[in-house]
Amino acid sequence: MADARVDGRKAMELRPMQCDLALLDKPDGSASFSFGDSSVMAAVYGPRDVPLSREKHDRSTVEVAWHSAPDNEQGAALQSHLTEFVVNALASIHDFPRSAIRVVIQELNNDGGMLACAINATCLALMDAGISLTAMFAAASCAVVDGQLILDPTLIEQNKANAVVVTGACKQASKVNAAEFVALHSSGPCAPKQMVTVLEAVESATAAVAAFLRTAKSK
Amino acid sequence: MVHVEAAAVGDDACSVFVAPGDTVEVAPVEVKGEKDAALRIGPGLTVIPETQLRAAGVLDGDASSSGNTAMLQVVVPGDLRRKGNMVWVDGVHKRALPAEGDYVIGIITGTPGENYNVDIGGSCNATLHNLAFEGATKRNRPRLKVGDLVYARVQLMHKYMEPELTCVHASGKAQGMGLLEGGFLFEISLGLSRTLLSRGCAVLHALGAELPFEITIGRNGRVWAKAARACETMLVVNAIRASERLSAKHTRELVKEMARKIRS
Repeated sequence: MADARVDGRKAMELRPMQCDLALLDKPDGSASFSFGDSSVMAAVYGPRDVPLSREKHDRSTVEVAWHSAPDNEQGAALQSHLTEFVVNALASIHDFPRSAIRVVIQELNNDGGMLACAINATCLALMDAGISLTAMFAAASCAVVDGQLILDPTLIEQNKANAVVVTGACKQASKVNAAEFVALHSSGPCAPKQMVTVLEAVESATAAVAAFLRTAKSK
Repeated sequence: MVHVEAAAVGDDACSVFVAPGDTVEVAPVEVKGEKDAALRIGPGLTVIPETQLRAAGVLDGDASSSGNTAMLQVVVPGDLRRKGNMVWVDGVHKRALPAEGDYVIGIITGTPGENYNVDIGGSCNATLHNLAFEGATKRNRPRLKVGDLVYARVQLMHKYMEPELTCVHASGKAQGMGLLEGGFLFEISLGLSRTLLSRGCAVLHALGAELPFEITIGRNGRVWAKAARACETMLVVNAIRASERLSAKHTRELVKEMARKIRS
């Protein structure tokens, strides 16, 4: 059956999510987040003092440090840049000029979709630190294998999907705002028509993730 | 997404969990003795610009048609609270962002020129003028060293400027502010520091019944305590730390038990 996946999931099914809040003592906020076997820990420091060379006079400097799992050292620079972009877009950086918000991301286990894991962990850690956000955000990834969409691919599926892997970070909808993508990363060729369906799938998946993050925080 | 409507935050004892991005609609109520019913918006909430409301089609027609109802956006997660015309979000945070008028405990980190640099837990150091003490003159003023603790009030807080502290009230009296000598400094969550400062705080009453001690609580999550002996100071520290996750009854029992152990 075309629907069945290695781990028995349906094509549009996310892996079970798990998270932990405020698990570190030293940082101002911390959280871990996992999709199945993929797991990431994020710590947030700030707003705190910033070296003069990186100081910005009207906003906080966002710095993301990405520590890869030992067997996965590729793409750390790109992924940390994307995470930084998301934080810059949604944290109230203009409230804290001449300060730094530092996010440290530690990959714990890589089984695909690390960027999505990291962005979700970052959202939780920022909320734990009490840094103002204009909206909650969440991320999910989607792969196209032999023309079929599969949500939240594992590492094996991700490597098999030479067509496209898209990770989208989505600002969640509210009464006065519609949901919108703040960051998007894709690799491999994709027809515009297919891209539309991929994005729709990712967007609805992020809504499910955001609902999970929300319940986690409210507990 | 949950939209918290006016009805949900209408009563005083409400407690609804809200997350960043949520919209809260609040209408001011008439309060006895207050002339104009204006909302006071506390931490964790911002006003949504009118242009944004119009673009979303929430606000139709002219602005006056919406009455006095304010559309607010939540920016930090926590419990939405309302008391009269004050609305705010109560969250559990570790990082202190002192506000003007807060009483804080600071650590002297430098003494450049006429100022002291003081670490108050914010993103940058605060300044404390060396004459901002009770009865201080150019000749007779307290000489603080790096590492000393001060209990001070935040006099000026502006996001583009360094915060400014003072150890003296407008009346010229210190009223407890100034250098903290000896004792022990420890950090607690901001929520617990608020609890300690509230009237009828169980742990402080229980401790007060058992032993004499001095305590100073800063709104930046720092607490300074001093008792006659070091072990008594540690009792105060441990009791306060433990009280965060205990009920009032359990706290009283714990303090009694700790005091009994220390005496035997």
